[in-house]
Amino acid sequence: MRFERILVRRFGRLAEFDTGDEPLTDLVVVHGPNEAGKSTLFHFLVTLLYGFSPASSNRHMYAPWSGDDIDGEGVIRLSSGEQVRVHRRLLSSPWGRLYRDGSESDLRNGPLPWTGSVHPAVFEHVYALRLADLARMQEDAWHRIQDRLLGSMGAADLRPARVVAAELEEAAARLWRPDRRASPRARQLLKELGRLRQARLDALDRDATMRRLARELGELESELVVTRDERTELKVLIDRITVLLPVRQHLARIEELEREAGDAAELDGLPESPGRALETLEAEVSRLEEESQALADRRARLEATAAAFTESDAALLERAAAIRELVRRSGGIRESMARLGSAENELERLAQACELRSREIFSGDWSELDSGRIRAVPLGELRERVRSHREANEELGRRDANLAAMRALAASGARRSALDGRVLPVAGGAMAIAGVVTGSGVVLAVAAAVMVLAVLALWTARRSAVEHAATLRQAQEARDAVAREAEASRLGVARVLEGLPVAAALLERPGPELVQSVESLGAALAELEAAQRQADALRASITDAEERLSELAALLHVEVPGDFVAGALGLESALRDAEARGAAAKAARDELRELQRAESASRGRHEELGGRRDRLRDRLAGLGGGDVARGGDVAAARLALRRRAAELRDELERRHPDLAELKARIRAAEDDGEDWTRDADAHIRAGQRVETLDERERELIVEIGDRRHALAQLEREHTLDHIEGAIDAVRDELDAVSRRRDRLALLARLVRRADSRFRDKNQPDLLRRAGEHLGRITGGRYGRLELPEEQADGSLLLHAPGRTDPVVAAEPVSSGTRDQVYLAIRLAIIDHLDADGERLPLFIDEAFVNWDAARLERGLELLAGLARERQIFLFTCHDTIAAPLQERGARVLRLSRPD
Amino acid sequence: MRFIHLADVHLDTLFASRDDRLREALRDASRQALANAVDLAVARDVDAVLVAGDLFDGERLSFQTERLLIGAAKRLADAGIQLIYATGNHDHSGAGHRGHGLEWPESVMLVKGAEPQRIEVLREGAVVGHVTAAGHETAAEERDLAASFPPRARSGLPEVALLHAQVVGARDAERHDRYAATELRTLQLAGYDYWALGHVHRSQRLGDRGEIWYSGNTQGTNPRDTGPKGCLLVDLSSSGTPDVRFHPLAPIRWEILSLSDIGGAGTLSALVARVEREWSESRRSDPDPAREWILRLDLTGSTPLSRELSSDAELVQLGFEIERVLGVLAVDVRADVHPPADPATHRGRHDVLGEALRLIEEARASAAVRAALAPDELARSGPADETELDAYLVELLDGLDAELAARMLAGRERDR
Repeated sequence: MRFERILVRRFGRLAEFDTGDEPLTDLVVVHGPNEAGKSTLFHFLVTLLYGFSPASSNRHMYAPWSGDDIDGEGVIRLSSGEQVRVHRRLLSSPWGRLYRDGSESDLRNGPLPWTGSVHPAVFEHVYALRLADLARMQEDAWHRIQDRLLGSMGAADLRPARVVAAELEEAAARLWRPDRRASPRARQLLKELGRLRQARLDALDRDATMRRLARELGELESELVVTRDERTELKVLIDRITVLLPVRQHLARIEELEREAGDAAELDGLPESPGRALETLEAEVSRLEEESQALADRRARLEATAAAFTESDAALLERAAAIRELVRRSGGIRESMARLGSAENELERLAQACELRSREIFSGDWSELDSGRIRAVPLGELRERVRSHREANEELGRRDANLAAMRALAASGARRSALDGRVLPVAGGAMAIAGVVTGSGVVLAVAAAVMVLAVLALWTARRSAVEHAATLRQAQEARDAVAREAEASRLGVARVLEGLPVAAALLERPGPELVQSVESLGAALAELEAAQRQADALRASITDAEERLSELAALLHVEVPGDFVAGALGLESALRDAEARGAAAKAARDELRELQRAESASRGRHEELGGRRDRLRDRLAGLGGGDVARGGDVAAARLALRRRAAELRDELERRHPDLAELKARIRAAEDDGEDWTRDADAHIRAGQRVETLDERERELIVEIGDRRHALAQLEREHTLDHIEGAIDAVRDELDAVSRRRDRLALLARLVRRADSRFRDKNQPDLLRRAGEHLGRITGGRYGRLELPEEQADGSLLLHAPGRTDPVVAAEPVSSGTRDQVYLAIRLAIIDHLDADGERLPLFIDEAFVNWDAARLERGLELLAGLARERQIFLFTCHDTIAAPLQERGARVLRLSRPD
Repeated sequence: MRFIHLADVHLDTLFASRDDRLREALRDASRQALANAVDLAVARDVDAVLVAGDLFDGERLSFQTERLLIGAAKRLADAGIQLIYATGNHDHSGAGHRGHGLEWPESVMLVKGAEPQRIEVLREGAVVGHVTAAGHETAAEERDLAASFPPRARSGLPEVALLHAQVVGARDAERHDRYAATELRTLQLAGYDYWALGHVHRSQRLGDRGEIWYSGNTQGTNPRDTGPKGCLLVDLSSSGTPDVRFHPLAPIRWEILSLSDIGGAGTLSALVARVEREWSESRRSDPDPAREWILRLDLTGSTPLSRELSSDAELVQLGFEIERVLGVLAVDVRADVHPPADPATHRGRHDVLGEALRLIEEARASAAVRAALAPDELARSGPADETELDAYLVELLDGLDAELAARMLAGRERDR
């Protein structure tokens, strides 16, 4: 088939691309730079042939960005000469139409019918030869390339068959192997199965053992029941012999004693020894009568004692507290009296002292002095005024002395000035005379100087006298002022002491001794007044006590001496006597109450014992036929029998708290026909048998415990169903493993067989054709290819004409030659793939860029030849490739890169 | 007359599993189911418990189970409830059987002969109905035992028939051995008020009159034993159609979840999520929250996870994960899947894959080709002759083209 026209409305970057009405040639060169759309055009043609992949516009890589549908068509000329048109669009779902012979058919997304057996994946991988494919060939080992080229016919989507087969065989061997090597899964499972089978046998054994143990356990438990039953019977027998029989005998003896004792009612209430009891009762009655008399005597004495306590005694007792208070105060009163005497002496002494001090200060009679006025003198003020007066006097003294001194000094100064006034003129005159006498100028000068001095001295003396007179006048005036001040302070002292007959001398020259005397007198007067108050208080206290004593004595009609202390003691003595009588009377009354009860009790007891005595005497007389003494003996004997029976019963009950039950058992045994005739031998034999049975019971319990324990242990082990479940599961897995292995082995064999068959079928012709292509490309350098089976690495051999030794298509053979080998094989494969149908177009993309010029020329020549059989689209961006092909008649489609 | 109808307790049956824990749980569950039935009988104060065979698997009856059975029978006897038990093919009365000579309490009415036996059902000493029963004497009873049942007696009291048999046409009957096989018509003609049947494990009513019933088994024993399992509480007190109510007894339920359209799950996590959704949906329509579950997950169809789902280790791990997510006792994952690539589209290829696919077609069509392709030695023992071997090879070829395509196609193409 050939594309005669290609119309791309929208497919990726191609839009409204149309090759036009002129049919495309066998060899089409698509010329354009990279990214001009060559690859897009290839995929468009693939889509026309096979439909859309993927079939969704959302996921299709060539869906226009504008959102328009993919749309395009092609006109194809078939080898038969028929022309068909195919139109495909990718809407929401793929749409396709095939137009031929004036009719159309719905392609949907299916391939064109002439694509035949070439799978779209194979077409994409094999019919598009790119430079990258050749580069990959350089890297791969040849045996891998031949797998890909010869096994998968170049389709890159297939894994090498021999690799797949080897994997399958390996996987199968991991599951099962016919030999003993390794440890495949099946062998592991068989081993496990063996273990489980043994476990199954063990489980069967265990089950049998458990059944045997259970059977034995049942037998032992039955024997245990029988043993215990027999022992129970024997214990009943022993019980009758050892327990019931003695009790029964005991009970019989009691019954006999009670029968001999006779009617119990006749003896009820009788003492154990009735005769002695009667004697005791009579003695007791006599004693009670004596006791009654003694009690009456005692009551008379007690009544007299009670009457001795009088109303006066009661009055004393009522005021006992007051009397005792007076007695308690008597000591204090005595002391107060003594202190009063002392106080009066002290008063006298203080009065004398005050008088003496008064005389120091005052004139006149002491007794007329107002002691209050004395104590009211403000001592502070007095002291201050006395101090002012003294200081003023002292200042006055000092000023008088100064004045005297100043006067003396003035007198001596006047005398010295007079001397100077007289001496110097004399001396001057004398010297002047001498000067004149002598005529000496010096002497005259000195005489003049002395005369000057004499004048000066006279002037100075006169001036000094005037000054002294002024100073004396001032000093006199100051002294007078001080004298007035001293007088004023003296008058102040007198005013402070005004109203008091102070001695005039003291007032004339008041000094500190005046202040001290006034102060001492005040203190002595205060002390005297305090002593007076104390003496008054003592006196009042004593008087009060004496008055209370007199009142009490009068009230209680008790004569007391006049002395307070003696009177108080007299009252106290009377009180003590009254208290003694009161206590005796109270004790007597208390005892009288007790005595009345004792008398009452004694009377009651006397009546009771008398009654009992009378009744006992009557009953004994009855029992003795009127003879009381005989009756006592009879009663004593019958009571002894009854007592013995009771003792026996008590002993029986003490020994057997369950006596009632024992009696019931005795009755039950008698109901069973027990004759109570078993002897000691029977008891011994039964005891021995019980011991034997006890021993057997212990053995049985041990044996039963052992079997139960063994059973419990075995029950914890796995049961048959559990193990067979595991066996079944292992068998299932073994079966699955076996089936899986067989399936893998079958598949491996099948893959190898298919690989071999495919090679057998295709390889010779394929290699022949590839050899022809290679010969044309290499100009006959290599003319034949060989893939010998014996080559372990699957290497491809290249044969050169005239040479017997082939070369391996690997290094050091040049990479260019290996590219050409690859292209030759690829062209042969393509021939092979569609040999039975339409020849599908071939697309070659820049595969020749690395070829030398000669081989490129031959290669293009080869393609031009092949294009007569199969349309070839050659994509290139090189003019050096496009131009020669155009010369050979190729149509050149030019694509340009969009701006 | 009121009674419990149960069958196929299958005590000590084997539970095929590699998991010890699971086997023990299932064994305990089958015992508990019986105990539950006894509890129900006592609680509902029934007159009798009717067991229609296969109470235990006689070939492996253990000592412990024997004691458990006797204990259950004693409990019923103590409650004054009759136990009427007709043997089946698994607990038949033949000699050499582990259940042979079991020492039942006197109150148990054991019917182990093929000759029908009519038994009075008593309540406080008064006869309230009759049960006519026949048992299996061998492990493979081929006679139609139902046919030998006498016509319903005219007693004026309820008349019940008790038998372990396969009724042709019953649902799931084909999954059980054809023992004591009979026709529905045979049962109907006998005229009994109620047929208590055992053998088929699915609880169901036969016919349209409501008097012929399979109780089903009390505890599922294998993955195909799906649905609720228990017993039937039957009341024949009123005239007319029996009042039959199903009571679940099984502590563990088996369920199968089949997913054939898992192509959308691109990862195992997505697959687990899909299973979780399907399981939740399934449980909404069949809630049974009080029970534990064992799930069989059957995965079929094309999936990009075909390689993972072809690995036993992956399947086990997937089972654990689903078990965890669903909170069930166990999950058994079975996968029969193939890659998304359809082998049919590759059959015309002119390469080794096409050659191999064509060879598979040839092998399917030709015994000679199959024989030529057979491995020299088979792991599976057993094919006794050429015919059996060939049948085995045919089995192995099933789905082989998909696996071949999966293995030969490189990753991208395989997963497309």
